[in-house]
Amino acid sequence: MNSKNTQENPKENTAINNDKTIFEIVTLDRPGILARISNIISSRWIGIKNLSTTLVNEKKGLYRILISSDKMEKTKRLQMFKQFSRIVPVMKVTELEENQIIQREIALVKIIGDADTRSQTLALAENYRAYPIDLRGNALVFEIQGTSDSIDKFIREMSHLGLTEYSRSGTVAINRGEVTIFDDLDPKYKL
Amino acid sequence: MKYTGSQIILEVLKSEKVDTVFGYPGGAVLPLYDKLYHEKDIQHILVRHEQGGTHGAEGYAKSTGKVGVVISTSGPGATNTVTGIADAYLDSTPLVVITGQVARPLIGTDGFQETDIVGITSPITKSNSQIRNIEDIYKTLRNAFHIARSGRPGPVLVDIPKDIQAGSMEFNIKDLEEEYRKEYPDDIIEIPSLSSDDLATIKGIVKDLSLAKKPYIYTGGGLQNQQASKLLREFLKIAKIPHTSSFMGLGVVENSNEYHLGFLGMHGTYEANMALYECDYLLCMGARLSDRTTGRVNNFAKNAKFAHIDIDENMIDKIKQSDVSVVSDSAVALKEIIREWQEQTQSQSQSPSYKDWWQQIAKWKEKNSYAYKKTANNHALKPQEVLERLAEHTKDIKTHITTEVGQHQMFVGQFFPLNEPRSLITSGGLGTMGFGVPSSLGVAVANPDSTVLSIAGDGSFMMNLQELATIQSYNLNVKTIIFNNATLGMVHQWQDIIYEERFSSSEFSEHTNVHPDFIKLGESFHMPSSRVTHIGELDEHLKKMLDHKGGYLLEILIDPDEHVMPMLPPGASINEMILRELDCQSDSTTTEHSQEKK
Repeated sequence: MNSKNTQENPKENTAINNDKTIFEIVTLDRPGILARISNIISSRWIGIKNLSTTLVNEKKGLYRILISSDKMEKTKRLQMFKQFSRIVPVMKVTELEENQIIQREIALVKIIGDADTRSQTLALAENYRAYPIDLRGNALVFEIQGTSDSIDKFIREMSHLGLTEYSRSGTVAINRGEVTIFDDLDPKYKL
Repeated sequence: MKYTGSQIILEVLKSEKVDTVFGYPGGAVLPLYDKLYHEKDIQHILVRHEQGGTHGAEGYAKSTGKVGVVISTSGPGATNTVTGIADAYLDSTPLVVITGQVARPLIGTDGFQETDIVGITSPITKSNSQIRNIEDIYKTLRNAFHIARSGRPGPVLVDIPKDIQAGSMEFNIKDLEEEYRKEYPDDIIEIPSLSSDDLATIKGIVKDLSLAKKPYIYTGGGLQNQQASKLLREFLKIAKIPHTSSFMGLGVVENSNEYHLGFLGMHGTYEANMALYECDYLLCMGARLSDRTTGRVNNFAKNAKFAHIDIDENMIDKIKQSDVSVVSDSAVALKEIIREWQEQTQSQSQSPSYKDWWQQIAKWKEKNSYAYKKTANNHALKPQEVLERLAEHTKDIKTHITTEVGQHQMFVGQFFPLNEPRSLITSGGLGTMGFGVPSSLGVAVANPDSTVLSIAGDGSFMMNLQELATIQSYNLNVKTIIFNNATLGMVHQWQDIIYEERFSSSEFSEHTNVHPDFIKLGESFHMPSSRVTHIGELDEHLKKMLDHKGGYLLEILIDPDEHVMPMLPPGASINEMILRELDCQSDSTTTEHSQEKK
């Protein structure tokens, strides 16, 4: 009776076995939406680990907001879910289950080392399929993509080899299989 | 035709059939007020403070079900509306608040009287926005009305910069209307019908209700309309199931209804709360299970199967996990429940009578949990007795009753017969002291044929008393009755019971010249005023007050030591009520109460 989707209501999904809580919010582009969402999160004293806002349908002005935080207990998850759903332009809220989605992140990692460690650095990077994309003097910049975990690991290992700075994109995610973000939405929003 | 932004605003108000707006002019709404000056179809009520405007509009909305409209200027005018907006948000009251904003080039420069009111009100509005172009006024404002009243109602704020109000453009209202329909095709107020799944669920609910040993029905503010009220009364009559309501749901079923056990929660009746603790099937409709109603949640209807029907799906499972639920308007669901009940009981030889259950309830009723000691001679008056007398005097006239927040508010729920939906106008969720006086003027504007009884504690009264001027200047039929105990009664009561009688800052009486002379104050507002100091004069003053056409202020000296009883201590379970100890009655159910902070 309500156009909003609640199929993935955490109630039915109590078995979610994540290390973190990930919400996917599909919303129309209206001013102040992100502020409303972050208000709801901050009023519950929850730290956001990762937040990304990306277009999913440019013509229709439909956005995907992905928020992840430390794992929350069920009541908190449920209440936040309901509060997100109450925001007028929000069309759909889903709590994502980690093994049902593919997640990727991209990072640029700057290493300022010396000639002695360069070969070791390049070898390690190759292991992680990180590509050197810029070299100026002693500074090497690698581009790496993968899961957040693998990027964490890469950065950790580079810390002995002159890690100086990194810049990470935040996670993007998509459902595995035939499930799409448009399921349960009005067909007019499809690509 | 060329329209200014302000004219478009008025066109929207007229197409939404708005007859009354509450407001206060100021710099950033001057263009709008200039157009309002010539407007014949819209009555503007000039309040004396913007908070009075929002509460006034709430009174208007709560008593009629229509959208209340408020206009205020930017900056301090806008921030003054905030408490009323938060109040409307928690009580699901439809409001559209139009605030002026500084002109677009000044936004973000800390201009004179500039505040980010959209940012400030974002957590307390159903939706809010700032208009950026004159072309957007029509659709944004129309949509604001739609959002305010659709589904579970709520407040919507629209912030309109001054230069947009003053600017003008060639418009054809018909085109605007068409464009709006195109952009918001679902903006049609229709009460959605039940899906086949819902029908099946209702069938199950009715079956379970009729098979239950101890069924119970709990309704809330969502049923505050004539249709739902009529249907619920009808259903109780045929099903004979005990009924309780939240404080916000009072009036939906008349007090004297034989199936109604009174209201639920912190100061509800003993039987209503005990029945909730013991029931084996609970049907909840149009209520959001506020913590003042449920007590400790894990003991709320602990042994019952729980069915929840609400128009806002986000209320379902929010506080208590439901076993079955339907997202629906309560009246629509009730119609189906009645039909289904008749069908199912027809096939059985007789409908269930729940005899044992009613006997158990009768035993709880014997506790007579609202009993109090009558006013002693030459003593300050008992508020309960005052309300009973007031009810007697007003039983033959149409009344609305508004309250502030605190002891007097609970006494009204307990002792004043509320027999019609929308007859009690009170601040439930936010508990706003200062709500009563301004909301009473809104109720009176919307219901000119009614006598509005505005019950106030002395503490709350002082918070928005400037609106007495509004009441007088529009010659509204509002009787302001101040229950003066020179104490912040509810705070005092908690300090007495929970904080070991440390009456920190709750007794005005420890200071000299506690309050203004309320009688002189009323008279200075050109309002006939009088004071009742002992019980013997009460009837005469009530009569005098009710005989007077128009505003009247009555001050009644109330016993400061009177507590609202029974009481569910905060954090306690619903079966752990503290009952009043009267000489004639032994108190067996007093339990230890938690020390949880207020």
